Amino acid sequence: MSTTTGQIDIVLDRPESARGEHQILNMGPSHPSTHGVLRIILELDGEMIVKAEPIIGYLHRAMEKIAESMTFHMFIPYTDRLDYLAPLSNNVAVTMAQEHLLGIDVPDRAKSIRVLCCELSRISSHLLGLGAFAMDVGAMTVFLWCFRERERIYTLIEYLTGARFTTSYTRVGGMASDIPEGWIQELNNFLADFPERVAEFSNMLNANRIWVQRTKDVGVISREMAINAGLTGPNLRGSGVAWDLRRERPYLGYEQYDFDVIVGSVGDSYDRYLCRVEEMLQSHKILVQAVDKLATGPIRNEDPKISLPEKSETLMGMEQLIHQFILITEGQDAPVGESYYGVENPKGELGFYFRSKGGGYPDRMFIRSPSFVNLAILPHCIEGRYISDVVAILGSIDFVMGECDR
Amino acid sequence: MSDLREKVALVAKGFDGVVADEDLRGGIAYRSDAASIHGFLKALKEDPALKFEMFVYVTANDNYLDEPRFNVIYQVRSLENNLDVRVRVPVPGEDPVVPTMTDLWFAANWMEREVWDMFGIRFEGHPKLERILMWEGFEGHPLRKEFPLLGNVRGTPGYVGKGGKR
Repeated sequence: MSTTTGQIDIVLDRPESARGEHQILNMGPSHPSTHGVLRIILELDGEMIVKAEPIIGYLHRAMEKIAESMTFHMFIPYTDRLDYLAPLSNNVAVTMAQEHLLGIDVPDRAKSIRVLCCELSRISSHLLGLGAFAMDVGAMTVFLWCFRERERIYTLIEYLTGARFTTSYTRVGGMASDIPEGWIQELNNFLADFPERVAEFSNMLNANRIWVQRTKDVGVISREMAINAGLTGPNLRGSGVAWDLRRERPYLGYEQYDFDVIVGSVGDSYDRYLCRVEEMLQSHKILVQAVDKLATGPIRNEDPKISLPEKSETLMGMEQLIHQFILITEGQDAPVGESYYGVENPKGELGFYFRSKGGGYPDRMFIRSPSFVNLAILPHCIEGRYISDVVAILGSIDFVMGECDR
Repeated sequence: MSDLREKVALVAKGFDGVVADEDLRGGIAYRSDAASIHGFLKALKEDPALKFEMFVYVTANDNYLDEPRFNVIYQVRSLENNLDVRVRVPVPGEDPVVPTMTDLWFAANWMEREVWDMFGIRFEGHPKLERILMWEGFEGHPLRKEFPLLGNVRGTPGYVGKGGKR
């Protein structure tokens, strides 16, 4: 409690007579504004929160344990269920970490497609984050508008991968399939009017008095605190730290794209909201460039010991059938050792630590999930605030319990 | 990059228990003993040139039937220099314990609780070392290798004991 800025002292410094009896209030685990199954035990003095304790683990599915008994390919579908608002970028993240462990490269076309996937899912995740945040604070229209745009992205994703949520679109060494015919045209249609749509809902909120009063100077995270708490993604940048893995450690050729790293100044809920809105526009900018620069060529690494052959070839060729069989049953032979690779996901840095003892199964896989780390800061933000601020802060931190509990 | 590596190596030299370790893809990795780890990470964090001010993660792995049985793995990051350092701390299977990092990094709090929950490795000096993903009263530490992959666990909602008794 000593870390909380000022506000907590107000509660404790009030004269004895003004202090009420402390009351314990349970919020969640199934509460509409806790974004999943988060439970918070609040100790209240009137409307003021004296102490908050988040309880997590209601969505724990032991993904790290599961990963120990399956090949790298088999784990990719599980990552759809990590951050289930951006399944495509989880697919990319886990595959990149596996390729880092195996020490292989992917062809240019696969990289371009992955950039398209990552940025599309970033927009869709931020749209949901923004919509749910706005609805928690009372702006129903924004929620509906965000969902309308999100629906268009999901239609695009369905067109691309065959599934809306459970995409599993990547494979070690490349992608599962190439971009279908006509998809780029659909994407361009979406991109053509997306900035206007963003302008619509940012006009609704940016200078909206209720919105500003509910979010400005609420849930302030200082620059030092943000770094110390290990925040990543828009939560870190909202506090004024220009750290974006796409810029600092370019992967997938992000160094070729022209985009800005958006930073806030104060680190309150309003700054985090602005960061997300601006990031959507930057993602749009990257998407436009990525469509222009879309490389041609193969979509999978050509090494038959690493990447799967074309399905049509496995039914005709002996070699391909053998490779397919070995890759599916035994997996890629990973070198002995440890590696860690993190990428910039919509929620922050999603990283995978692998420890391999050789063979196709990891001995240990650890998921460094951004939601888990970001959520830990919650007590720091809400202690000393009013109970109605809890939803405004929860919305601005933008976490997903599927990723938090793993 | 290379002179930053040397600076990290210089800091590591100040600790007897810290030796260089291997990363598969050329990252900076060290191995430390439990006695030196707190001092080493503190020195990395407070070094004015290096400034490893972000705690990326702490996790562990299990060498079941081998000794030292566990490795606790820390990764810290310097935002200014865009550099990561990973440190591995081997701890014995009998009463595994390492010092807490919560006094240095706020981020260590929940992550250390998770390692305690999943591996049963104690973090000496942690303000509230309780289970975080599993519930209080759960028996065992699920990410240890000897934890069974199949079967019912007493206390889970669908638990069916011998003779169909709940």
